[in-house]
Amino acid sequence: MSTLFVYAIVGIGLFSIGLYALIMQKHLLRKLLAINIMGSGVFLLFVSLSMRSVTGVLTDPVPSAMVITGIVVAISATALALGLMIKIARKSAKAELCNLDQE
Amino acid sequence: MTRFFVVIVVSLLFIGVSYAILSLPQQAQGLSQAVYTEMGKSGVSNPVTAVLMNFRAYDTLLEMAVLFVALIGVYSLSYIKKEANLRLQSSVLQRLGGILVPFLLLLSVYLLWVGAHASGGAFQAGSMVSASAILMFLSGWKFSLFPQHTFVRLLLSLSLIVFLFIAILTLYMSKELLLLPVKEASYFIFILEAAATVSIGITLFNLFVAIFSQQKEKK
Amino acid sequence: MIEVFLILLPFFGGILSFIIPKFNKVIGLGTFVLTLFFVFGLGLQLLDKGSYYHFIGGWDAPLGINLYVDGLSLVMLGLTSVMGLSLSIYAKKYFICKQSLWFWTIWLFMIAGLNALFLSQDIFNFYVTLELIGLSSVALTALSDTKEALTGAMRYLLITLLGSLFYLLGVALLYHGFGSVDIVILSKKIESIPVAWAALGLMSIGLLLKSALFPFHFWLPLAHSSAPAPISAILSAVIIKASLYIQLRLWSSLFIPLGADLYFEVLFAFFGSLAVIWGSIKALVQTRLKMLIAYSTVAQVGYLFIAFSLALGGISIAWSALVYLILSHALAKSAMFLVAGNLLHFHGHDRIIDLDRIAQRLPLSTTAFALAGVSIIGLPLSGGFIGKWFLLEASITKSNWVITCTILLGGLLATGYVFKVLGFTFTKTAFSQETKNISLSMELIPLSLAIMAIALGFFATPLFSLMEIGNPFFIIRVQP
Repeated sequence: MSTLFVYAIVGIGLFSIGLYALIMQKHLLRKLLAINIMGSGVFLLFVSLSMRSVTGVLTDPVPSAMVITGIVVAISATALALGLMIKIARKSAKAELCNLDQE
Repeated sequence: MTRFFVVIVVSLLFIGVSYAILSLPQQAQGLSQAVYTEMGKSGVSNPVTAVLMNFRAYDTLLEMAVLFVALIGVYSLSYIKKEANLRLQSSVLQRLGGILVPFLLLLSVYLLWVGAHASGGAFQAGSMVSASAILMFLSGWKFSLFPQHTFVRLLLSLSLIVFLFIAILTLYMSKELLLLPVKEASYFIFILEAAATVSIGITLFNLFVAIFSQQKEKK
Repeated sequence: MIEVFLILLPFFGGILSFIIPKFNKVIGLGTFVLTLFFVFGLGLQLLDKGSYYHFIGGWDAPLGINLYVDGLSLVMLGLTSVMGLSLSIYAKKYFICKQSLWFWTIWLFMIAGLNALFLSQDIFNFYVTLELIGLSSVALTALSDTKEALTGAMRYLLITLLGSLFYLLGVALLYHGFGSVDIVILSKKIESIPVAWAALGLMSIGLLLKSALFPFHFWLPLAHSSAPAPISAILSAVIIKASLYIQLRLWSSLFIPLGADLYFEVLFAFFGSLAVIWGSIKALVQTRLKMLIAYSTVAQVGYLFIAFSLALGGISIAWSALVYLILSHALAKSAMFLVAGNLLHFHGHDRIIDLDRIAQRLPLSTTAFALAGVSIIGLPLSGGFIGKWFLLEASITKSNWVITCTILLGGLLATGYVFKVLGFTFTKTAFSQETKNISLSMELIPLSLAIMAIALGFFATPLFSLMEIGNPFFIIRVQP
């Protein structure tokens, strides 16, 4: 196995760690960070696999462009989530999701 | 118990996807061949910019829309106080801001320009613009970039407006959405990128202020 | 060329209403009327020419992004624009000034995102549109500004982001495995290698999270019930179907050749049936009207996936059942949510026990609820009846008696919860309640939506021929 896939495996590792933290952590900021880590994992995997180009041909630019799009989307989502989180913290005095629907 | 279960599921996911990745061939072209044969018609020499602004410009249009919706969403959650007490009191910051801001703005123009043939582009330049605006704002400079003014609202939506305008123009000229004519493509891309830089910069700045001011109000 | 205006127009309207907030209602309504006209134009063109592609930027598929219009996308676009226009008329009266300042911009962008999604043919483009829709629906859910709504919105945001990331990981694997993100090209290149299977799993998890199939339904009731009424309506009617639509597209061209349909047939049937039973029972025991309607959505999603499972099993009539269930559920459920919004406005609460002679005081709303209920239960002559009839026929053809029984049982339970509400509309409460006036248009919109849900039952044949344009489910037909 070559070193080519190391980054991709690390990407999946980040994705898995993020998923674990997203499920286990209570605090909303941590959940947001977990989502962002998952996102970074996906982006890492996406760009790193484009290095598998045939010698003589440059790296595939399409994944890089898609990742830039993905990053902007991730920033937007994070900003909205932060705004929402602060609002929740102000309404309920803690930045966690309470179980409202469990009667 | 939950922890155990989650660990099992997550590690199964990790193993499964890793196995799939490792079974990929060592060499693959992806779309690089297609991109490099059409590069000449794209108007720029940086392949990433060519994909972002020409081959897949429609994705970029939607991406700008996502950023815009996030901004409006944050606005709908909070109301920006015009004169919130957000300034940091520090003479060092003021001095440093005076030196850094012109430099940062220059750097953002450079990043925008260099994007045509090397790494760089609208998003990087826009982040620079927003960084300098945040620096100015925090060090207490008197300026207003808030959506109460129609002019600022225009600037915020500038990139979408330009995108839509070019979309309509290309539809009128060629019946295909965003078909940039080969000769003028570089001008179109530059206009799009410049507008995107302005909008991204001011949008990110406004997102920062909207979230930041909400936090301060809590006290 | 008409199809791109369905995307550009709402964007344009949204920006205009952001720059000139004074006229945002006029701009919003005007945009929706125009969009509806363009959908008509698109329908005529489609009948004339048949399905076709639009190459964005003049680049063809592997490099550029293609739009594709066929009968299925036309039906979904039509549904979106009809819902958009009627909910806008309702929302014009529903929102107070402070909320409506930003409402129209987000709302129009969301519709643009939906239209873009239904036209797209590119799996990465699907991701961007999904995020556009997700973020705008979260922002709209949070507009009601109560603690429930904020919590619901946050949970919805986390789930929708998680779903998108799973989906994006699948996109990355497919791209690196087969070198394209265009569905048509992928369908020619795809073969049964581990990457394709991993992508299938990841994308399915992501999209099922978003369409709230049974084990993943936990976020739906709170978000859908605490959002403002028109938003609840669009969330239940169109948004959850958007991710289902992507799954339809992916399965009908990519995943069926993989031979994965056998496992997913069982999976969808199992969880779909559980969703029908669980959602209906939960709906029966709810004390608040909007919660009841939201759980009914959980059950209806179950029906959609039962239809999906039968369709994967190679029974072509199930595809028609699926689309018909999508349409009739969208119209009926949105009518129900709008009636619930009226009651919430009228009494200031939505406790089912204290409905207090609504039947006499708001007869139009009660009629709308009853008609919508008829379609949800699937009583004869309604749109829901046609959908369920085809579903039953498909399950009997397949001689899958468990599914047949589930469908029938679900119908019985639905009768239970609809009549539970209707029963309390006639009773009088011991204490007197203060009431507020409701404008006529807020009553007429749910009524007309409910009437449309019933009327769907009479236009089955033309609708089916419209759906068949371009033969969206072609792979199924080829199989013996």
